[in-house]
Order: sequence, then structure tokens, then C-alpha cells
Amino acid sequence: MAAATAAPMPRAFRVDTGFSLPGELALVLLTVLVLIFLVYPTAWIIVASFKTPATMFSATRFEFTLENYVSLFQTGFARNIFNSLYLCIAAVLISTFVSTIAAYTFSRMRFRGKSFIFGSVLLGQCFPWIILVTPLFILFAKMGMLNNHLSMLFVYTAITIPFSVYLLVGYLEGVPRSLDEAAIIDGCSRFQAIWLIIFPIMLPGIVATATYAFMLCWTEYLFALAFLTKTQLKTMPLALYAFFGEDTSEWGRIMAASALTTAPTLLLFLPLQTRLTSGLAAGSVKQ
Amino acid sequence: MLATALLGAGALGALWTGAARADTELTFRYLLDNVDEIQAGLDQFEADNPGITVTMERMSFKDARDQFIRETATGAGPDLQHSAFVWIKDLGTAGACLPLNDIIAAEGIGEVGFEDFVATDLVYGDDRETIYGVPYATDTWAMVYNTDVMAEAGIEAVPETWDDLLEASRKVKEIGKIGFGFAAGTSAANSIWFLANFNWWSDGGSLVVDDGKGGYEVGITADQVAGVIDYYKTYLDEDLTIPGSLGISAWDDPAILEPMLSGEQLAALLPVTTARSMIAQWRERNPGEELPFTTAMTPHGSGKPTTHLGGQSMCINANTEHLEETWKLMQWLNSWEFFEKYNTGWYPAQKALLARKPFPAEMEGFQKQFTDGARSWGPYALGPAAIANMWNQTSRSFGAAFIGEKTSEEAAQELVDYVDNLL
Amino acid sequence: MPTARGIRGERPFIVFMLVPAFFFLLMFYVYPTLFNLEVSFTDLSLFGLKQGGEWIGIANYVELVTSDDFHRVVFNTVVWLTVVGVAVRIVLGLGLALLLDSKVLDKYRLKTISRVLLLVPWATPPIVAIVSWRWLLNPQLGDINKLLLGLGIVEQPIAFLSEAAWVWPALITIITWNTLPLVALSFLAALQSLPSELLEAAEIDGAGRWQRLRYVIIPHLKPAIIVMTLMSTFWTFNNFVYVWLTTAGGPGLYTNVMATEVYIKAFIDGRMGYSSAVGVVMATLMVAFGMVYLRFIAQREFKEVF
Repeated sequence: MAAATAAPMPRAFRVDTGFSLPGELALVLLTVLVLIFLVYPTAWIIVASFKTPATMFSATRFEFTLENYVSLFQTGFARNIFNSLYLCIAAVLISTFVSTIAAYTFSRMRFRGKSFIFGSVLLGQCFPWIILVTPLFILFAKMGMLNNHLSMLFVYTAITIPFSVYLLVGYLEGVPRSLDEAAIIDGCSRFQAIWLIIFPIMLPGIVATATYAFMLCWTEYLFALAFLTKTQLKTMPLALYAFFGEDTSEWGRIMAASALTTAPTLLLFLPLQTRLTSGLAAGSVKQ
Repeated sequence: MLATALLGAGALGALWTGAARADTELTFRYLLDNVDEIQAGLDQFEADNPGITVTMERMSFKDARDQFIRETATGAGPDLQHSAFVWIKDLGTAGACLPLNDIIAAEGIGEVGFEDFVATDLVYGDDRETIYGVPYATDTWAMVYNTDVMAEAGIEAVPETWDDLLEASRKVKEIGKIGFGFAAGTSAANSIWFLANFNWWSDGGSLVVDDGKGGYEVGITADQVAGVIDYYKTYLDEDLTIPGSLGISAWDDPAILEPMLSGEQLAALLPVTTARSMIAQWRERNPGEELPFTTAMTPHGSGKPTTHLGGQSMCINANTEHLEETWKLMQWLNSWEFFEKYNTGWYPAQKALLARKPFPAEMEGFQKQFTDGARSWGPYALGPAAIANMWNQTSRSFGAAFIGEKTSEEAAQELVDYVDNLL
Repeated sequence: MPTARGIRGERPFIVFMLVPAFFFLLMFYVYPTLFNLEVSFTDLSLFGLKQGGEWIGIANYVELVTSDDFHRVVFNTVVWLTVVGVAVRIVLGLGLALLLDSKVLDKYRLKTISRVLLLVPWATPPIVAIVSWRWLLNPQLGDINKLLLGLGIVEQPIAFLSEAAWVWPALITIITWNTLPLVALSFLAALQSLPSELLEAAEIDGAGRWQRLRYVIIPHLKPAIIVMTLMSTFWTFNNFVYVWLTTAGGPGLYTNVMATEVYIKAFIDGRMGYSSAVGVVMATLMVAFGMVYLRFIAQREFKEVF
């Protein structure tokens, strides 16, 4: 009877959520509040970057301007963006490559001392980077590699390897060994087995790992601060950090630089959402 | 693949760091943010000196000293380094700066000569003979008052003493505005160090004095220090200064300057360049209106108003391979033309040039302070205690007392003992 | 010849595959550690970097162990930064994951948008997060104080980053905000791998919401919770940026932690030797913790690998 007279309800509204209506609304309200908490600080920066200095810190007044960006680019910020992009992409490629082949070896091969080496790589995750700055500075200075992107490339690769290996081994452990063994029995070489069979299956995990490595490199400033002093070599976080030195009050530029530093990672992350979730699921959910 | 990637990146890196040129390439490390003006001055230098190119590297004050020491210790670093007045002795001791006695004797420096520079007591190494740097620009601090706020709160004259300033701040609080706005925060580059010193100097105290026997001693009692801590703590406790003062350390933090600009705050104690840029900003925002600021010397206690004669020196990297060219650059940066045309916001550290630099009417307080109320760090820099260490301990002790972790007396005693220990 | 655990007799291949990682490990972890260890037994000063330091035995360590300041630094690092910081993150991350997994969001079409927005804090670089939060928490100009004042919750603005009572909660808020998405996302991923029959069976057996959470969901999430707790501990304990750029260890030394202490001692106070000793203690603590992790977690997690 009811079914005959009532218009068919949208499917979504027939979902049994296990909550009463007030309960549902309370949860929705909670979700909205949580989302505001999550998004507000970033949104605030982006909005502030388009405000004139006079209205920047006012909640009610808003005068739109592009002046902050114009004055930021006059400081040569485009160069910093380029440096960061190039350095991070290169570091991510190298780090992911090195980590992938190492992870494969750890996961699939047997050799003496493996427990020790693998354990050491994993321990690298808990290493305080702050104590690396001075020794590496001295090392690079002696090799004449200060103010050189190659040394930054090495550092960024080095600091991302342990976690990348960890994530990738975790991922590989979820890929049945029978797969590559079967391929080898069928006459594939090791490299072919890796490239043709394992790599495509691992891709989501590799994407998650690379994203992580990119983030790390993109936001790092401590090593860059010590190793890069030439203006044309500086990376984006470094330029951003320089703006909030004790001797500047160029908040317009800082907001614009902050917004630009955030934009690529935002654009990178949002589309990758599903990939990341599955990559992480493999990396951090092991029974 | 890895090797190719590395090689490729290395080749690119090499390309970008600039291929070798026939010119002498100098690197100049500069620490302030008026880079455009300085760059214009450097362009002029390059035009006047064919065959020399200068690359400016900007770095902030808080990291520059350590970076230069690290670099010079490992054979690297810029040819010419911009430095705070008070770093030179330490940089010299560290072997970072080249001794300049010979070249100064041979070629002279500045318009009149080395004797004409201010704060030359700070350019010597531990031996008090070797010259490791040349003073370049100077500055000092003075008070800036918002005259609208004064009028509104019924304050007729600019406060004379520290107590007057406190009273005036209380009056301003009654109309719901901020009295004396200062940064009580204690992070590495803090202002409380200056506020503390200005206060006890004007009362006859000094953290470090010459003991007259070739050594140095503490020239202040713990009680005096505790009095100064309590003085600033009163502002915090009675909410007479900017809210959250403890959370900010920089004297030019917007939290201090914005209320000055919007007429919400009575006074700020600022370096000359900050005051100038703040006033310029006000004019930009309120074109054609009458300026609501007046400047005055700092308040005083039982003695006279005293601030420090601050500023920056230049030192030459001990590892430089281009002494001759670097010296040319040094001379240019100390010329009247450079200060007149390019580095217009700063005051040259030579008496002859300083006298030529115009002070607009609203900057009168700074002029008085420069001529009549500014002292050199002197014994602070010359004694065995590094200023950086005293600076940090001062902020830590004051900070501990401000947040109530220690009493003022405990904090004061801790500071005095610490400095005594260093001396 | 294939075996249960891999293939034997491919030594050159193994060497080729591991040499790059090994090179990075040696050059960027082993060498700096040895360097720090050596320096920690000297009185090397920043100003004496060129001349080198004198061997002073364990004097730096003696000073460190007997210094009240250092005790507080350890307390701050272990209790505030790590234990409180990580616990808050795990609990909130769990709550957030449950919220985002709830069917209610499905029903109101909030599922996708909420999962996308969850990534925003993670995509925000820490240095930017700090710029933003410092302003949001600013007593005069910050939106949080404006909101609290507007709602009448407080009468006076709160100086979150300078009042002793507030500075740690404020710091932990910033760190949590920035790192919560990663934790929540991992839990969410684990939740999605929970077979729905399991929950349904529990429901049919009459298990209430809390009982399901306690006896079905949490046990299922346990591995993820353990891994995330450990990872968060590593990252937080060692993190320098948040504390340094937010409070620089202040007010006074109130929020000084080990990472900032290493930096302050070396580059502000110029005591490289002492700073290295702090660094060695720091690394030792973490390696000890890491060994526990290896022994009890990783060796089980990767039992096929070890």
C-alpha cells in the first residue's frame, strides 16, 4: 500500500545508518565542524594572500589584490619554485627507484646478513635528522659541493629511503611470491619479472611512496638552509623561511609564498586520494 | 639509470651554478631586506669596475653568523660578509675574517679614514690589535608615540621616565587601548635584551663593565635586574602592552606595528629603520593626512636616556682569493655616494657622513638619541662573555620570570650569576 | 632454483640492487653518527670549528645528565611532545576514521568531499601550517580569539603561544592538525578492509555500538594502531620544525625539546661538543626504541623478510 502510493525514495535515503535522525544530524554537524577545522587554516592562508596588507588580519574587511603575488615574483620566487620542482622530482625519482629495487631484494631474495641490513634500513626511520646537518655540511664543504643541487639531491634521497623501503616492502609482501617465481620459471629474467610483472602490481604502492617522498622534499628547509646560500639555487621553503626572518614584515609576500608552496601539494594530493588510501592500506595494515 | 640520472642532474646543477667566466666573481652576503636598493648599488659598482661581477646572497641575521663560521672553517663562504657590529670579534677569533690592518694602513678606508668610523672598539680581535672588520651602517633605537592616542588619553607631554611611561600606559588602558607595546617573547632573536639593557643603563647599571684592572665584571646587582624584570612584568600583568606580547620576539612584529598604525597603541620602542618604514607605511595608507606620530628619546631612570649604537660591519672572508676586488667593493659600500643614492634607509657608520644625512622633523627623537643617548656595546663585546650567550640568558631569565616559573629575584640572580661566571 | 623464501645464487644481482641504498645509508647515517660521537667527547666550539676541539672525555655527558635544563628538555620531548602528542593523534585519528567511515556520510552525500578535504592539512607543508596557525592563535588579530570573544567564552584574548598553561596544548594542536590526516587515512583504509559480515554477525548477536567498537573494530585495527603509534613516535620525537618555528623553545626554555636543544646548543650557544652529546643521547634513545620496534613489531610484520 505505502509502496504503491509513495514516490520511490532516493536510494541514498534508504540506507540504514544505525542512527536515529537526530543522531544522524548530530553526526553531520560534527563532520562539518571537523571539516572546517581541517580546512580553515589552509583556506585562511590562501584568502589572506589575496588581501591588501591593511585588511589582511581583519576578519570582516576584504580588499582584493594581486599585489602580494606581484611583489613576491619580483623577488625571484619563480626561480625558487622551479628549483624546488626540479629538485624534488629528481629526488623522488631516484629515491623511489633505489627504494624499489632494495625493497624487492629484501622481499624476494635470501642472502647472508639480510636481517641486519634490512633492520638497519628500517632503523633509519627513527633517526633524528637534526644531528646530520653539521657532519654533512663539513663533508660537502670538503668535497666542494656546497651550493650545489646534487648534494641536496643526495640528502633528500637519503632521508626518504628508509620510510620508502618500509612502505614498499610492506606492499610487496602483499604480492604473492608465486607470481614472479612463475614468471622466472617461464623464462623471464629477474629484471623482466620485476618490470613486467611486479612493477605494475606495485604501482599504487609506488605512487603512495613517491607522494610521501615528494612531500618531504618539498617542505624541507633545514638542510637547504645550511647548504644553499646562492639566491638562484634556493628552494621554495627556504625563500618562505627567509621572508619570516626577524627583519621583515612583508606579510603579504609571506602569505602569497605560503599559498604557492601549498598549491602543488594540494593539487597532487586531491586527485591521488584513492591511490593513497590503497597504498597506505598496503603499507600500514598488516595482519 | 641511477648513474645517468645523477650525472644528468649534476650537469644541470653545474650549468645553473654558472659556468666559469673570465670576470672575477665576488660573492657578497647581505643580511637585511632592502635588497633592491643594495642590488642597484652593486650594479653601479659593476658598471664602474669592468671585470668584476658581484653576486649578492641574502640571508637572515639569525642564521648568518653560524653559516659564515661553518663555511669559512671549511674553506667556503662569500668574499664579503655583512655582519652585526658585535659579531666581528667572535668571527675574528674563529678565523673567519681576514685581518685588515695592513690594507687599511696602505689604502685607507672611508671618506676621512678609519678613525672617523663609529664603534671601532668592536672591530678588533681578542688581542685588541688585529682589525677584522669595518663598521658600515649604524642605527639606534628611540621611542615612537602616537599623538592621537596621547590626546585621547589626556597625556600632554611625552613621558620622561620609565615610570612616566608606565603611568601613561595605565591612562591609555582606561580608554581601552594599548599602552607601551613591546615584544616580551624570548626566542633567539628577541627584543627583550634591548629593552632590559636600555632600562638598566639609564639607571646606571650595566651587565658588563670594565673593572679598571684590565678585566671585566658585572656592573649591576641582582636587585636592580629584578627591578627591571618587574617593570616589564607589570605591563604584562596589568595588560598594558599588546596582548600576547610574550608570544612575539621581533620588534617589528605586525602585532606591535599594526596597532601603532591604526591608532590603538600609545608607544613603541623601535630601531630607526623600522620607525621609518612604519611611518612610510602610514603615509601610504593615509595619503595627505597629518602624521600622528612623534619620536622622542627613550625614557630614563636615575641617569640619562641610553640606547645602544647598533649597526653592521663588513668583514672579508679569510679564504678569499680576490682581496683586491673585495676591498674595492668594501670602499664602495662605505662611500657617501652609496649611502646617498642607494642605501638611503640606513645611516653610515662614519661621523663625517652621518652629519650629512638628513633627519626629517618626525625623526627628531632619533637624531637626539644618536647624538646624545647612544652608547657602544663596548665592554659587552670586548669582555670574554659572548654577547649572544648573555643575550640568550637574559631572555631565558626574563621569560622564566614573566611566565611565573621563577620569581623575579631568582631569575635576576640566575642572570647575574651566569654573566659573572662567563666573566 | 626457486625455494620457499626466494631464489639462491644471484649474488651479483643482490649486490647491484642493494648497493645504492647501502651507499646512502653509510654516507648519510653511519658517517654523521660517528662524527657526532667523536665530537661529543670534545669541547669543540662553533668559533673553534677551524682549530678543532680538545678531547674532554665524558664531561659533556656528565654536564648533561646533571643539568636541570636538560632534564626538562627530556621531559618535554618524552611526555609532552611524544606521549601526549602521539596519544592525541591516535585517538582523534581513530575517531575521525570512524566518522568518515560512517554510513551517515554516505547518506548525506558527504563521503567523497570529506575524504578529499581530509587531505588538506596533510598537503599543507609544516612551515605553511605554522605561518597560518601562528596568526590564527594570535591574541589580537587571530580568528580563534575573535571567535572565543565573540561567543563570550572568554573575556580576555588568550595568548596561546606564550602563556605557560596554553603553549603546549597550542603546539600539540598545530602538530596534530598537520599530521592527523595520515593517521586517520591509515585507520580508514584498515576499516575498509573489515569484512562487513563480521559486523553484521556481531549485530545479530546483539552487540551494541560500543561493544562492536571494542570487540570487533578495535581488534581489527590493532595492527594499524600499533604501526601508526610507532611511526608517529619516530616522527614526532625527532621533529625540529614545529617547535622551532612556532615557539623556538620559548617562552624562556619552556617548550625546549631535544631537537631544538641540539640546534640551540650548537648554533646559538656555539657549543658543538655539548650539542653533539645531546644528539647522541637523542639518537640512542630513538635507536633503543627502534630496536624494540624491530624486535616486537617489524620482525613479526615482515616475518617472511627477516
